[in-house]
Amino acid sequence: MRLEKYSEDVITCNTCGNNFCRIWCPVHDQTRKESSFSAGLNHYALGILKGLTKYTPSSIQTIYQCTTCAACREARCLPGEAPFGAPIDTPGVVEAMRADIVSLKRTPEKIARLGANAQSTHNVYGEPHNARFKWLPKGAKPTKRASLAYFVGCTSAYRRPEIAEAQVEIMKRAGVEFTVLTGDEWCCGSPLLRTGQLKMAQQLARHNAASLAEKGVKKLITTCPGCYRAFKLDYPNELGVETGVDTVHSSEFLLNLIKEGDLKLSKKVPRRLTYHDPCHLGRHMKVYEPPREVLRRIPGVELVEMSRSGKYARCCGAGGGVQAAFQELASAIAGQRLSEAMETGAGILATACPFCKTAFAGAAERSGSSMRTLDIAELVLMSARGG
Amino acid sequence: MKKELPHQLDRILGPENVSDTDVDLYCYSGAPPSRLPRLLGKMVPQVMPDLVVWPRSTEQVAELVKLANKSKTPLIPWGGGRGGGGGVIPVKKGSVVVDTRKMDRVLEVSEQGSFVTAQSGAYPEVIDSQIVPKGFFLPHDPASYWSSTIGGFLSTASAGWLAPKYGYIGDMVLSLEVVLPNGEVLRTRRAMKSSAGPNWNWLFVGAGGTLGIITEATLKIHLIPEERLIRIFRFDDVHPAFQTAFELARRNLNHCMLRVSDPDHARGLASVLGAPDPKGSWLIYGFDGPSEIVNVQDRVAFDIVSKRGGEDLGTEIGRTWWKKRYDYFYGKRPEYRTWAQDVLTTATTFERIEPIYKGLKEIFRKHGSRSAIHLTHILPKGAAMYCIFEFPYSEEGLKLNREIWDDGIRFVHSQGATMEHHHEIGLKLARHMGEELGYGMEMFRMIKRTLDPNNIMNPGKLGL
Repeated sequence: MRLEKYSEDVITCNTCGNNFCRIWCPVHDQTRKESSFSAGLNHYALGILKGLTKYTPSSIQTIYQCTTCAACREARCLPGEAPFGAPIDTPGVVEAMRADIVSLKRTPEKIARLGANAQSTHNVYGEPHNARFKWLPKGAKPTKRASLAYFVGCTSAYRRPEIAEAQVEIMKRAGVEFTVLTGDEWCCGSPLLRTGQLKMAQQLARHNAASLAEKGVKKLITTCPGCYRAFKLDYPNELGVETGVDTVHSSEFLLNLIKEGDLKLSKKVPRRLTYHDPCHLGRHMKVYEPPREVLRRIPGVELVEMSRSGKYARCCGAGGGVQAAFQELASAIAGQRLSEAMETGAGILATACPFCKTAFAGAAERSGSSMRTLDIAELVLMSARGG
Repeated sequence: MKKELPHQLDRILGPENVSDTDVDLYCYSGAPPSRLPRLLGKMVPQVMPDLVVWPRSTEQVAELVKLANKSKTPLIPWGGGRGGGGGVIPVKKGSVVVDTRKMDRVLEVSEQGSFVTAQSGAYPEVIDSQIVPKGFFLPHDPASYWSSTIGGFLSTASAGWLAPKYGYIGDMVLSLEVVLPNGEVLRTRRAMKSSAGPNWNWLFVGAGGTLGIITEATLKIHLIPEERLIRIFRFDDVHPAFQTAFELARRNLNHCMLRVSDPDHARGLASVLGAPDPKGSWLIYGFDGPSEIVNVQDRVAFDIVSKRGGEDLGTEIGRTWWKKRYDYFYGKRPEYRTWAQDVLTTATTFERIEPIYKGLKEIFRKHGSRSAIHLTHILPKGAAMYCIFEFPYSEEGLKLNREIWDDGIRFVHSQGATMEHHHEIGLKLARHMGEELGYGMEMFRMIKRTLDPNNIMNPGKLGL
């Protein structure tokens, strides 16, 4: 049982009872259920470990409703010092339970579909594999073999091509030599890692690692924090796949281009905007400042913070497979976050993740809000085009 | 539970607010493993509720209570579920847990009247988010601030750090709305005092949801003070620290905080603050309000404490303590988990505090239990004593825990003090309620029988 790996965290959580972890939990905010937030999930996990309860349809549903956003780790969980020790890794506990559920062949249908799609079409949306680079402008001809590669990811490729287009145009403008994996780019495996489908994720990782090696890639850029975490943390630590590649998120890469003077941001973007920290970029990978620094360097931009930002940012609701399996819940969480963005008086909600962008664009449409959601790559391009 | 009840509740509350799923029943039961202290897991029957429901309005609560009363279905009102006494653990088969946390709206904020009216399932930070921008705060700030609801605070007679100046949660009540066991709705008048018969608000404060479900509360709020100053002093021993604190309280300088830690407690406190072992006692006082007044209060208090031998450690360490005030109440990693801790809190008037301190210290020592004691709330009227004691994580340890409680409570009762100042009684201390209340327990039972003849409201709690 994979959950056993987390038994120390589970037991420690069960000795607490403070329930402070509920304060930033986006799912508990919606459901108000005892079972929804970290303490409840760990309560149930201890029952599983002790054989007092088992995976049932309702508990499986609850376990898959967690967005694994990791806000609970920041929400007054154990302070990282004696006599308490480090915070409980509830996303780890949840993902371990999911892996056990998958092993028991009890995977919820919509979640299993992600894995089945990835196997048959190499993307979680079940879109044709040969359309993965359909967005690539005709004139754009990335180098076939280069030490730097842009990994597009399923969501930018099939749902948010404008992010990929912007990223590619920026790199062209900056004179960066890069390659893309074209037909050899498969899903990074992030949605499967987050939902317990580890065997399939490992197949994808092995394939991607081989493709990168074949192209001689030493450095990888991602516009998706899910891909970023997968390559940087999960491939070596969870899946035992070493790529030998240094992975950077586009926010870090863009900041470097701007700092080095390779990319000139000359056109003013005279807008008030607020930045949403994607969970997998912020809390999971601790990248908080680079995207903000990029935005601050765009002339005319007034950056304002939401009441919850940085490590306390509310999740967009799309992560951890929740968007795929529980759309209503995901939409409600996105709507709440959008309201927080609107409270700042900003007209643009900037983010650095295609999942978050999709979630907020949907929430704005449903609520009739005029708030535009843009990826930092799109905003940077707006300014760079003025040069 | 009657077969038709789930359908009737679906109709009243909407099916999305009624659950009989095993994951919900498990997480709302007291079945071990429990997030409540392990010792409770050994003491309580393992009963799953039959249903969990989430009403959104007083009307819905009234309707569901009427149905429950008719079918004699036990109801368990649930706030944050954090009370350490097991007050939300179902003990009867066929129970329905009434989770109030979807009743979380702030209904009115009056700046002129300085009050807030909120539904009882509101978390305090939801209230603060509405009143702080207007320059107000709710001065009920206990360790459970981040996990409890307003209804939970009221039902457990909770006490916050700032109680010496602003009062306990019960003192802040201007009016309450309560759904009684027969489904009738009691709404008390919005007034700070009335001579028209008993004050019914106080019937429900600390009643643990046994007499009704609190659905709304109107609470006094205050302007955010310009300044809050907290100063810490060191004394060689606990005796002069106690006596100095009582002197300060008698002078009635309107302190917002006054506390004394014995050397064992001060050592632990200092370690969390990153300060060296004080090898003595700490006295902490706090004043808040306009800076000019705070400065005068501090000067007068400073003179009193200095003259009695207190060594000033300054206000910076006081600020750090305030900032970290929630950081003492967590679970522990295995390397720190050799011993479990429990807490006995008592309260009485000043002249009894030192004898009780010495007596309890001796009881803990006799049982081989390390203890750390501090006076948490020192008011002009008296003081509350918070005794943290340790026992081993084992079957033997659980027996020891029970013996310590029994001896400790027998002793504080012999001294005329209360056995619990501000923690939930629930199931944990239910067996001592008869001793605690004397004939008052019989009165409590009579009131319970009158208001709740079918015993549907949180049965089995507080010794009922």
